[in-house]
Amino acid sequence: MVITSVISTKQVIQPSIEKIIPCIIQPMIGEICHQVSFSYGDELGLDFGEMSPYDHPKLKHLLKGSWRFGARASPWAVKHHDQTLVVTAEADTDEQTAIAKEIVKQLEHKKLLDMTIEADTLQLTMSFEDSYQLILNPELDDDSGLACWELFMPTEQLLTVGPGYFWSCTSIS
Amino acid sequence: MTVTSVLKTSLGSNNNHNLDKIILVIVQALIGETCNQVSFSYGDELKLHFGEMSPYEHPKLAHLLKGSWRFGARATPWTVKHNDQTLVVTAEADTDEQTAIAKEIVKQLEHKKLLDLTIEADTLQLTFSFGDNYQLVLEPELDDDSGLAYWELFMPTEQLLTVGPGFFWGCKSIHERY
Amino acid sequence: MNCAYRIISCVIMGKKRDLEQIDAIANEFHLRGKLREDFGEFIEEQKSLGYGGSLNAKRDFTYKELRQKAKEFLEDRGI
Repeated sequence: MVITSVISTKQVIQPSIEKIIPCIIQPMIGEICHQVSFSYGDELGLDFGEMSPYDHPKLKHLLKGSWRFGARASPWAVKHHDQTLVVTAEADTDEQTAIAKEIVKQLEHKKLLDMTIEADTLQLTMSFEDSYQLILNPELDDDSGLACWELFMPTEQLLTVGPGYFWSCTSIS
Repeated sequence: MTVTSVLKTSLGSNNNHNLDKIILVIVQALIGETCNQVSFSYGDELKLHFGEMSPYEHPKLAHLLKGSWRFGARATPWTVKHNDQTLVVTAEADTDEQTAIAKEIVKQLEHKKLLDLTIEADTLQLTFSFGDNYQLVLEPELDDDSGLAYWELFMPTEQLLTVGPGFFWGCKSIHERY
Repeated sequence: MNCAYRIISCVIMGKKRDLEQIDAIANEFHLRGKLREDFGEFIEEQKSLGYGGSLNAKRDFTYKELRQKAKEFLEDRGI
């Protein structure tokens, strides 16, 4: 464990996120990203695994995956064969956002092969077949209070990482 | 900078829970800590305090100390063993006298270092192995319908880890109020 | 009637019921995580200081008494 800060006389210990999170999400490796979508605020969403309709009567024409990844407001990048196809930013124009949305759609129907988290920066890298990568670069000094990313899991739990090195896994049922 | 990756080891493995592995990686840093205090909360709940001790913040508890790691056995029956001999096994139906005896015995775990922690994947049996060949074993009742967690652990990361009922687990901030 | 009720409540009371009551009180008063933990310690400490409840010989608390203790706990904490 790494000690990150001192609050009054107590030291707040940083969790070993780089070991914990991969263990929790391990069953997702090998699943296929069936759908790339965008929620309110242009939040990138990736749906993996078995697809089923939403429960809400006004959403039942839409499908969601048994694993649902949400990038929240974290900037993300898409690479193909190590070439960067797009990098997003908070200040992107509508046109830039539209282009980024088109590009990231290339991840649809690709199998997730690996997922890595860097201990210090919390950079998240999802590696897909055909040499595609989706990379999230959380802003550790972001004071919005938003999670860096979240993952709804088939165990009816919500895994959130961030803000900062905080993480949680709670029941959604 | 360290990078840890996950490689899929077997497609379609029936591991919806993965609970045993997940819990052990979360609590890994507890191994090697010393149990500085054994106490009992309301309902005779067994509490083990590991690591650095500090006072409670509540003004009426400021004279009491708590560990940076605090394990609570909730209402789960527990067993203390020494050199593989069972010293005590608790049960919900224990009399006050039996409970008092069990409390005395489990106090022997104070000042012992935690050497290992294991969880059985199917039964969720939790075994703490301490120095001097002591063990504390929790055997959750998987068909218990009380809705109580089997055990919980307050961690120095300011998170609360709970396991149970069933194969449910969760980890969230200790400061959450709603 | 009152005597019969107290006998029944003693029979069903046990560790699980005690903890379920604590959790129910904690939910009612929005005591989660650390606050719920501190509350459990608080009421056990109240017992040891002689401010226990009227439920049984161990001075455990009735549900109503636990609610009162929760208010005290929060007031003492300045909440």
